[in-house]
Amino acid sequence: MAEWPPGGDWTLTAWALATVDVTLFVSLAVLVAHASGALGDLLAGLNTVLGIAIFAYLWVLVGLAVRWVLAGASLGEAQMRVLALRGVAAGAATGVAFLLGVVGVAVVPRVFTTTLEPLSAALITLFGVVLAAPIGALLGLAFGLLDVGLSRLAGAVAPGRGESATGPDRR
Amino acid sequence: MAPLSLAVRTLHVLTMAVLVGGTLAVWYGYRTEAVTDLSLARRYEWGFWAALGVLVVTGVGNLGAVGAPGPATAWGRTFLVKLVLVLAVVVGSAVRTLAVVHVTDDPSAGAVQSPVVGRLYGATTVALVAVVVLAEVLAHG
Repeated sequence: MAEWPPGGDWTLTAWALATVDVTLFVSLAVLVAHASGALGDLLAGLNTVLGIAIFAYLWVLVGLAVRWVLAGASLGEAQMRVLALRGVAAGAATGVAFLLGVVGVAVVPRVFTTTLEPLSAALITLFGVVLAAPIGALLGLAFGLLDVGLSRLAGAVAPGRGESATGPDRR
Repeated sequence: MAPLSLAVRTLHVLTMAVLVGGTLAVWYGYRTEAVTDLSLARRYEWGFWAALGVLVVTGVGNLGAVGAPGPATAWGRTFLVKLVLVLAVVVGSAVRTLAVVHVTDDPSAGAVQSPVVGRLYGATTVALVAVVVLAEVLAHG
């Protein structure tokens, strides 16, 4: 069957799971912020274009991460360890890349337009990376496990002919 | 309302219309057996996830434009219910998409499972319509 996009190396699974992960992450963040009463203040400090740009950047990063994880391991039970390791690595890389993107937009211009010293900017970045890597790794592991769970549930809902309902082993 | 906010809101509404209409059409096609080839579902899934991503980001954009009353207000409680329902739609749709991938990767399963896939689209349509109803309550009371 012809796949879309033609000639692309994206699989439907990677595209869907990347979007699942990023939309769940954002929706959960909004839910927590709303439940705690902080959503109004949070959104007041974020203009529309910047918000869309941040979401798009995160979508791209998570998409690349999920594609990389699934390129090296399938969602089957036999490859759980590989999936977990790749999920942790991809999550850490995504966290650092996201942080560097934010620093590039929010901190670097201030070095040229304000009195912020380059050394201070470098220290802020370093501190951010030290935080972003483990947080990203944890999120990568959590969303990886969620994706495996969703895949198994899908296998139970629509098992193939003559196949036990233990979940699909699809990339 | 600023032109950009209006554009974001318009895109949000149009995207939801495409999602509800598209999912309803796919469900109807499988339910009536006018469509039995699951490759249609597979192609639809690519667009579904693109639209869902747009829907979430424009939804947050709308929220920023109109402001978000506190969680203890009637609006805030309804919004909380809508958010939980959106999370359910995302998770449920992930299961549906992976089921479509599963059965289309297994040619012997496709014909057997097309009614199952049809029902999954039916459930998605109902959930999306519930999200629309909650959005109406939020917008107009």
